[in-house]
Amino acid sequence: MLAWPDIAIIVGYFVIVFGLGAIFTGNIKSQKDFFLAGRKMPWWIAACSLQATDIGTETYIGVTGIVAATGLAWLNYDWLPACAIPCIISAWFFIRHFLKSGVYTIPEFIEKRYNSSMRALWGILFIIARTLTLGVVIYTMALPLSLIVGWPSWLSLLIAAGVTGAYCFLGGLTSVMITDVFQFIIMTVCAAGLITFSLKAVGGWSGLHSALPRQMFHVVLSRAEGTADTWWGAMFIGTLSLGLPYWCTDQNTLQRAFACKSDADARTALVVGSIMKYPMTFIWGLVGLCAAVLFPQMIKENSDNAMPKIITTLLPVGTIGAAVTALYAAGMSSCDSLLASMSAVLTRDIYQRFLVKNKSDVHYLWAGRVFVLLLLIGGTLFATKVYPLFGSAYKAWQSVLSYIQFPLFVSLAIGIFYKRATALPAFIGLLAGAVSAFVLDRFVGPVLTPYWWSFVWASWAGGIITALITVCGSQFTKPYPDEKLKGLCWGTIEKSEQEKPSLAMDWRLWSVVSLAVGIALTLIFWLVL
Amino acid sequence: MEINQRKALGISIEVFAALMLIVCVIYEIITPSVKFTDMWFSYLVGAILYAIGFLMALR
Repeated sequence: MLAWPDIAIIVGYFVIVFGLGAIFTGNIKSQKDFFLAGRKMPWWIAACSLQATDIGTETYIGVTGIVAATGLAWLNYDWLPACAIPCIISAWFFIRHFLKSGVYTIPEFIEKRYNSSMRALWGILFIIARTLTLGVVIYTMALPLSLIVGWPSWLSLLIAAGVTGAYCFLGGLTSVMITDVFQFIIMTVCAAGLITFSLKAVGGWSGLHSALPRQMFHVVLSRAEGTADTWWGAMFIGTLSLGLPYWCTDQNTLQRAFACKSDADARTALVVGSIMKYPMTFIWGLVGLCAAVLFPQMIKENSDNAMPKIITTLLPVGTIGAAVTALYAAGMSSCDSLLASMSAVLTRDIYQRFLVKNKSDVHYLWAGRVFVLLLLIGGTLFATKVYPLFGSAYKAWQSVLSYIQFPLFVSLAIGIFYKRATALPAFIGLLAGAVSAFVLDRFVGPVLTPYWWSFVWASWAGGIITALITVCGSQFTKPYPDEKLKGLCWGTIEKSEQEKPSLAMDWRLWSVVSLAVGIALTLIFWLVL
Repeated sequence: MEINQRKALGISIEVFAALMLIVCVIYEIITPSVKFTDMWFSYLVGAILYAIGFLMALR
């Protein structure tokens, strides 16, 4: 059981987060305020919010656990291939088209580029994919108090989901982004505390390095050294199929970029965010390695217990409470973003576009709030059903997204870079790609090539099928007029319309920094250690 | 009136840090077996969080 100071800190955290979220209720007067924070956010808030959203409890617990069991190679999911490169591609090639078109959601952009059927399909696929994710996020959000404090999971879930839903309902995206920053700061400070005590317990870096096999420190593994999921091909090529959709075309991520006050703020937020991710995930990886040294038997039985075990056995009273709040912060910052993005898509792309048209702005603002509540209830009910089907929480999150997200990314990317692409082939290609990915991963790949097969190849195959059908099929359809595509496709934005960023907000400079840090870390953890 | 986001954030972090420091001090005072050497890291974390909150709330 936790000591009373830790319980007091956890309870205080919930009260403060609720208060911080609720304080912005008075600012919410329109859909733009609720769904896009009034488009007034600076880059630093967006950057912290983007990374806090990306780091969920399932990442916090899952990454530490999986690194403890298999080594640092899993960090590639949060480093160069699946985070930094996609963020840079998003900032350079995608974001300005979204901002230029003035949309609230990605499906809205899809309607402008293709047609309303594609918008409906995107909206529905997004909701399906994210409902599964919301279920996993809510489930794992309840884990900390269940594992560490020993409270029943329903009570833990009720408190965390209740507070998250309440501030989302009241303050919309403004509350979501501001509380994300608060949660990101707590996570960062606690991560520094965790690694200090973990390294001390194993005898410092030299003690850690000598206690584990060398390949546990390597981020570049051959197939013989790693598994089908961790060898270099799966990590550096395969995981692009997860990172690109997440950072370039996912409403859940890009809603923060849409909320930025300028094009430069949005682009800088994405790239700087990718730099902020390196130290945080590196620390969790090291904590995982320390857990592998300190609790080898427990890691063999259930590696997901690595982080809770480290927190409860190594940290002093007070810091344990702060570390548990960091676990909650990870879950809540992901859950609130899902609620905000899903309610935006449900309201703007389904309810307002197809079901109840021509009502007042305030009507749709309240519809968004009602959807937040409905999603929270639905996600909570769904939470207990998803986790047992997929096993490890981290892998469940990735595999659910992989079937649908990469074909979605491909159809949108082709829409931006290939002016000739039209709606019907894109529609058919998207469906065919998503179904193919599912069939390949479930029934074909594991049977034909069990040694090499990983779920990332299914999404690559799905994406290639989507691309082939879209490009080839578009040759047999009538092209769209140039006026329709202005601002939506590559090369249709005038040079004079593009902003000149200041040096601090020059995303090109930050992109070089992000790439350099990522390459340096990869080389160090491949060739040096 | 629009609320200053940076100030609201800073004050929230300050309040959280102050709560952490206060409960740790009370715990050390009322629990004879607990000494400063057991709690110093919690004070350090609280102090760092307070400093971050203070700096954010300044502007």
